[in-house]
Formats: sequence, structure tokens, C-alpha cells
Amino acid sequence: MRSSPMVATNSGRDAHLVAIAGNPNAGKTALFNLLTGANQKIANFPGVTVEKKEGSLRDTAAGLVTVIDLPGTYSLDADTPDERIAQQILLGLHSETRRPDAIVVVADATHLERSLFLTSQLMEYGVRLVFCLNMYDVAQSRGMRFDLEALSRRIGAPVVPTVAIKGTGRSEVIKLLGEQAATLPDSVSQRPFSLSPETEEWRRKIAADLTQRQLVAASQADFWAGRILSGRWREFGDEVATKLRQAAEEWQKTLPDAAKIADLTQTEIRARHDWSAALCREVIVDGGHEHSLSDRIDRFVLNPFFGPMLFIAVMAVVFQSVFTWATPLMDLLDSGVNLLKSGVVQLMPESIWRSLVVDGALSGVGSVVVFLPQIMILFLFIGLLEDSGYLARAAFLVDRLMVRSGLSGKSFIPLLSSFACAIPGIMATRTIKNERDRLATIMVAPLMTCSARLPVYALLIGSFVPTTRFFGLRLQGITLLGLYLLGMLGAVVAAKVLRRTLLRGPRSMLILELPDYKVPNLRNIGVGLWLRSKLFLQRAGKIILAISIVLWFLSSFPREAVVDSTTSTANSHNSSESLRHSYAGKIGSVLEPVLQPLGYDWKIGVGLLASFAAREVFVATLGTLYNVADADENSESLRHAITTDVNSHNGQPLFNFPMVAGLLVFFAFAMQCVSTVAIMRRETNGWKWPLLAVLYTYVLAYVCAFATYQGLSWFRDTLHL
Amino acid sequence: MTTTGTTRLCDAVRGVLYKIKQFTPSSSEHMRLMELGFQSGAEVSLLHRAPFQGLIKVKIKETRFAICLSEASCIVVEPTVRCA
Repeated sequence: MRSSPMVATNSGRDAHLVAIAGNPNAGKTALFNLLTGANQKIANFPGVTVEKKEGSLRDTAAGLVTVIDLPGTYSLDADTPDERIAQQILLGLHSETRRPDAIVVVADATHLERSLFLTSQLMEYGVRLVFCLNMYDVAQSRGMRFDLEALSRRIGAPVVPTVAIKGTGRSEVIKLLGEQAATLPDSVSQRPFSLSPETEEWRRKIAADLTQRQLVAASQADFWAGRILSGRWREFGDEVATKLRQAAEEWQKTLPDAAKIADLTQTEIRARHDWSAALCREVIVDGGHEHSLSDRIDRFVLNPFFGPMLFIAVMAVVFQSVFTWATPLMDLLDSGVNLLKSGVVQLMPESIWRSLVVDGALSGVGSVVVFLPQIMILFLFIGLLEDSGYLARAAFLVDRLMVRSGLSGKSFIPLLSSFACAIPGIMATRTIKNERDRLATIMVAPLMTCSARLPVYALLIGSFVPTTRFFGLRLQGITLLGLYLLGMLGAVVAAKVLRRTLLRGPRSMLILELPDYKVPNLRNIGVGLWLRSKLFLQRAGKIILAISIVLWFLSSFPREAVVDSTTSTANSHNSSESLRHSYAGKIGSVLEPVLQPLGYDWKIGVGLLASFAAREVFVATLGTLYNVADADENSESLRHAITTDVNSHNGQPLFNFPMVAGLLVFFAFAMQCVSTVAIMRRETNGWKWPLLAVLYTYVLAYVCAFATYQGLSWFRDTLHL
Repeated sequence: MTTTGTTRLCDAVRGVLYKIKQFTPSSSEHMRLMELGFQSGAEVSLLHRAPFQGLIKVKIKETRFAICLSEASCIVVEPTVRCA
């Protein structure tokens, strides 16, 4: 549904809409969680990666109320994607969300003056407000005292002191937002400042014209007149109703010269600040004592020497937890899925349907479910770091380092997490506000060496890299380290290229608020974790299930008559033959000419195709191809089989040194992970970026593997090694 | 160009309270910074510097912001009184 600024009536709707708005770090989400509990859903706003959080409230004075938690914004003129969404919804210009019936403004009581800038714009817009003076307990503990009646009178809205994280003020806010949402007509526009007589005259003329032409509600005419006068109507582009835009264009032709426009905007900003400062002097009866605990903590946390050390220690704990502590839980889930599969195998007679359920659906879904502990542990830490105020400091410390790579300080944690798994890493990019930085981080996250690559690396390095030592270091270990560094190098280069081409634009983090430190609120973090986990399983699970079934079909059909046998070797042999004659096997054969320049034959082709589901499947597929039952990366029989196999074209060992080196490089770069594709699609709201990521990583992998294989082969042949 | 007694926010010294004089025309975030309170006459002080010429932490109107050096170099300030 498309709404326009004209929408001003609340009648005839199923539920009233209330938006929660405010500056970043004012406690909006805490208040949203307090109001709606776990009864909320997260989605993306259409066309952008900005998160949309909605919940519902029953039995208010307005009946059923939908509450929407908007991204934090300092003003209605900001231009980052998330702030723009907030601005569009607040002004009734969003294509999918209608104008809210009332707005709950959340202000940090300890930073009241800062919050009043946005409040003054909303007052001018003439929408009904409920003003929450949040973190009231913190302000009181600092000795601050407020004249709440005066504040309410001056902003023309009810004021509620709240402590969202403790539940204080909940019933009062619900009562008032219900009343405000149900009240018609809109509030009267209150502009808390005046401009020069000449400007006011123009403003009056434009407002009268807009009202006369019935383009906007009378209560909002002055607001829109101000926008037109200062040239800020262009920012809304197509979102502004066509007629209003036409009126704006007409008026622009008759207005004073363009030079005055910038001045007018600045004059307005100054007037708002002056009003905010004057109001604070009036309503803050006692300013209390200055709070400098955060500054004292920052003396250590941001110290040029201790700061980075603390940062490394914190990151080590986060990394260890995601990488190591999740393993027992992941193993437990894996065992659970295997148990379920055995149960199905016992219950169902052998048939294509059993294979579909066990090898297609359960294996596919199981491959997603096992990532849940990693995701939950990572988000627990991110929640703790963000809520405590440390995340902004971490970004402060590493910003310079990341900017050199074309990213921002906030890309650090997602990329670090991607060493464990790109899925939680990509989900963690939600803390990055700049959309281009976020997309660049998402696009390069799969290049970081994730844990799923380790079985492949372990098998190939263990089989082909000698156990010799250089300067006391094992060559095998050096090779593994080299692969990690190769992934990081690839990510840096890819990020730089993306930021200079497809994602070209101004860098973010020009300015970032450093909030006061506070004790993290476990309830908020818990709600966030619950929603995030639910979302991950629901959305990624569906895509995984579909792709897993496709891959199962390709490797199971057409089916050959299976010779009945009781030995595992014979079963493995049958599996190998089935795989060879399956569509996957045929595709492997078709791909052979493309793969030959890399030194691969059809078997590697099948392995690579199957490992598109997940990299570690490569090892199991090789096990099937070489008739090794229950193969894993430590299987001696599989190692023996691959070291002795010969290339059917030239009779040379298939897994020779140049080919293995090239294969390792291929795995370092190629995005062989359906789960990552699925989560990338969800997080970027479409197929464009995941498909591009698959394309560029495979091209990069192919080119680098080709160069490695051909280069090393030439080197070997020339030197007769 | 700075006038006598003035400096740019990127070159500010810790422990000194400054007043914002003006923005240089090269500022890309002028309006944004103004909305956040960085306007002429506002008091600002430098609290911390990130390693390797990274961001700086400044205090303005009881709020702490991290701001990059290139943007801080567009804010011309002059010292007022020395902090305790």
C-alpha cells in the first residue's frame, strides 16, 4: 500500500500504528521489547538491508496497536539508509508502511538536549507524540531533577519517566500511546522557533497554497512549506506524492535565489539547538553532577597501548567461544540429526522416499541446524559488547585498520567471526549501519577461512605436504597458515575492488556516538537471541531444504539397479557406480574439459559439485568415489586411495603436488556453501549479491587454481623435480 | 586557513576547552555535524585519539563522538579556558 502525506485519518483500519523513534542509544529497542515482549517479528524493509521490527499490543485504548521499532536517528534530514527509513515512515512517505497514528519518542534523560532536536521536528510535523524520558533512574542517580509538567507543556505531549530495562513506566506508556493513537485529528503543528519576517511570509504563502490545493493536511502544511522553502523536498525523490512534488517544483521557481537555501537550513538548525538549550535550562531543575565514569574507563580502554591489548584479548575470547566452545553443542546436534536419520532408516523400508528424507531433507536441514550454537554464542557476545558500550570503542580502535581495506571498524567482528563460519559472520554485519560497508563485508566474509574448510585442508595437507620442518616449524602448519593468510588477502583485495566499483561511495564512520558504559541487559539480549535464532532456522532452513533436495536429486538419479549385497565394500562400490552414472556424475564428466586445465578429472568435478552444498561434503564424496566406507579427513584408506589414483588422461598421479596446491587455492576462494548463499540472500534481501558472490569467488578460485597448477607444473617440469 | 589563535579540531590538544569558530568549505558532513551540535560557538574538547592516526573522541554538549581526522580537520576551533 502506498501512503502519502495526505493520509491523516485513523478510521477504517484493523490496527493502529505506533512508531518508536529516537536517537541511537536512547533505549528504543529496550522500550520496544518491554512493550511487545517476544511477541515481535523481524524482517527487512523492502529493497534495503535495514531491519524492520514489528510487534503488537492488544487491549489498549485504541484496541489492537501495531508497534514498529524504527532505526535510531538524530533528525529527519539524515541520509544513511536506516535513518532514511525512519524519516520516511515518520513522515508517511514509505511505500510499504503507512504514516503512524502516534509516535513514541524515546529520549535519554541524561542527554535530554540532544533528543530535543528530533522532537522539535516531530512537533512541527504535527503528529501525536508520547515522550518517554528514558534511563530516568540513571539521571536521578546523578542528582538530576526535571520539571516534567513544564516539559510536557512545552512539547505539547504527555511525558512519561521510564526505565525500559527495568520495566518502569510500561503501563503508563501503553495507556498513553493507545489514547494518542485513537485520538483524531492529528496534533496541531508546533514550530518552536521563528525565522526572519521575509522567510515567515514565504512559508505562510506556501502553506496556504498546499492547504488550499488539499495536498497535505492543514496541520502539516507549515512543515512541508518549510521543506519546500529550504529545498529539502528533493531528498524524498519519488516517495513524495506526485502532486506535492509538482507544487514544490512550482514554488521553487518563484523562491529567492538558491544561495539562501543552505543558509535557511543552517538557520533552522541553529534555532532548534537554541530552543533545545533554552528548554533544558527551564525543565532541568537540577543538572546534577557531571558523570565522567565512562571517560575514566576510556582512559584505559582507548589507551594507545592498553586499548589494543584489551581489544585483542576480548576478540580472542569471542573467537575462541565461537570456534571452540560451540563444538560440543554442534557435535550434540549433529548426533541428534544422525540419530533421527537412523530412526528413519529403521522405520522406513529402503526406497527412493527414504533416501529423499534421509539424504535430502534431514541431511540438508541438519547441515543448517548444527550452526545454531555458533550463531547463538556469537550473538550473545555481540549483544554483551554492544549493550555495554564496548562495541563502539572496538570500532573506534580498529577503524583505521579496516578503512585501509575499504571497510569500516564495525566490519572487524563479522570478519573475525567468519573464521569460524561465514553464516554468523554475515548475520553479525547488522551492526554496520553504512549499507555499502555492510554489503562489502557480506561479500568478502566467505573468503575468510571457515572451519568447514578444515576437513578438506586436513585431508589434502596430511596426504601431500611432507612432515618436514623449517626453522622448527612443520611445513604442514606453515601451509595451513598460508591458506588462512591467502583468504585474508583475498578478502582485502575483494573489498577494495568492490568499494571502488559496485559499492563505490563515501566511507562511513565519519562520526559515531560513543555511548556511556552500562551493565548489559540480559533480557534484551535474550529477546534478541531468541528472535535471531528463530529467524535463522525459518528463513535459511527453507532455502537449504530446497537446494539440498536438488543436489540429492542430481546425485541420486537416474537410479541404477543395485546389486543386493551385505558387505560395506560392495555397498560403497555400488554407491560409487551410482554416483558415476548420476546426473551429478554426468555433469562432472561434462565439466571435465573445463577442469582439465586445473589438473582435475571427472571425480574432482563430482566432488566440487557436491561440495557446493558444503565444503566438507568433498571429503565424504571422495570417500564414495574411492569406495572407502565412512571416510573422513583422517581416514588412512582414503589417503592411500587418493595418493595412488592416476589421471585417466595422462596416466600420471591425479593428486600431484601442483594439482593439490591448486585445489587448496580453489577451496580457499570458492564459496562452496549453500547455507552461506541462503543467509546472504536473506540478509541482502534478494539474489543479486549472493549470486554475484558465488560468481566472483568461483572465478577467483578458478583463475588462481589455474595459475597455481600451471605455474607449479611448469616449474616442476623445467627444473625436472 | 586558520587565523591567529585558531586551530583545527584534528590538531586539538587534550585538556583544552575549545569553541567552534567555523567549518571549512571542504566539510562533507557539515549539516550532519551541525545537527549533532557541532555549530559555531559550541564548546568542544578532545578526549582521546585512536592509534595510527585513527579516529578522535570529542565531547560536545555532554555527548561523546568519535570523528575521523579528515572531518575534524574541517572544523576550525579556538581555545577558551584551560580545563582543570
